Amino acid sequence: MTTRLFVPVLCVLVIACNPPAGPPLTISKMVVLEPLPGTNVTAAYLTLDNNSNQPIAIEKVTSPQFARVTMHETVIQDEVARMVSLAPLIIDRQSIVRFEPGGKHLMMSDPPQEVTLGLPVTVEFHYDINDLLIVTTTVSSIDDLPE
Amino acid sequence: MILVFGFVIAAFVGGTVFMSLAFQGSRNIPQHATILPQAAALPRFSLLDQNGAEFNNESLNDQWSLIFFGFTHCPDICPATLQQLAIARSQVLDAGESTFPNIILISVDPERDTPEVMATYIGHFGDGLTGVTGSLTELRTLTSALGIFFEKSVADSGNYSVDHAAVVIVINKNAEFHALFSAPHNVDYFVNDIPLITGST
Repeated sequence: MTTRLFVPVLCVLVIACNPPAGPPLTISKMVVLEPLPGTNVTAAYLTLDNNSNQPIAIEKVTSPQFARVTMHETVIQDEVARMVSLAPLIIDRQSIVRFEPGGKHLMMSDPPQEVTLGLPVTVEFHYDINDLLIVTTTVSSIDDLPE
Repeated sequence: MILVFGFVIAAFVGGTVFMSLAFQGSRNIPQHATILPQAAALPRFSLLDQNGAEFNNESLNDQWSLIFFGFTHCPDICPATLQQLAIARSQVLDAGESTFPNIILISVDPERDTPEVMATYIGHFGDGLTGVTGSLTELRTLTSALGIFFEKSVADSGNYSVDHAAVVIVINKNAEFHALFSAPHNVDYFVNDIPLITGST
């Protein structure tokens, strides 16, 4: 009787202590906007999902298509909009951080070559000192952003 | 008993009618914009539009205008706000309104935003937009009167951004400061309130 109870309980404990293996960090809904005419700067929006049981620190973001990529948040205080640097960005365990217009965003600037609609863009997220997550998407129009 | 029942029915009908009228009334009042108790005249100013022509007080006469202070190297809130205003413009005109205020971007970064740069930039947002730039002195004359803050913010890399007010200013047909929308902005706020403010509904 004791053994019958012990085995299922042990299984539950093992499963609880070893959650299904998967990538600790996932990125979805990434949109890199085409720089507006006359400018060499644009923004990217995305959702970061920390699936692990430890906080994750995004140290920096790079892209071969842009000389500079920085994590910023537009903060509005007393009717004034300021861009605040986010690096390093800490994502709590099992949580989601959304980069959205008017809030957190990647500022991407100084492309070595012209960045046009539909061009493939690679974005590299450097996290927890030695880890790297590479995401590829294509350049979108600002018209494609949700209102 | 019948008297009490009749009273309850009458109270219910009366309450419903009252609430309906109150709701209709509130729909005719701007819900998101702040209307100034008294419109304020602007100081004399002289800037340049995207064609290099003078843009001054007279340029605002005889039409409603929506002014946003921003800059072309702003990656997030400036294009997002201009996009929201352009979408609101389309929606209001598609809904049958005959006019929509002129949308004006006044640059708080005249160092980089020449008339040529402004022309290229605003062209993306369709018709009905004006890009304005000019000297810092003239810009300060206008922004001080409107209570608009802006300040250059230099990063360690040497690149710079500009912190700036995020409000959308409403100027009436007499070229006076009439109302403002505070951030965060929303297309629906503009679509609902602008026709009410301009009196086109």
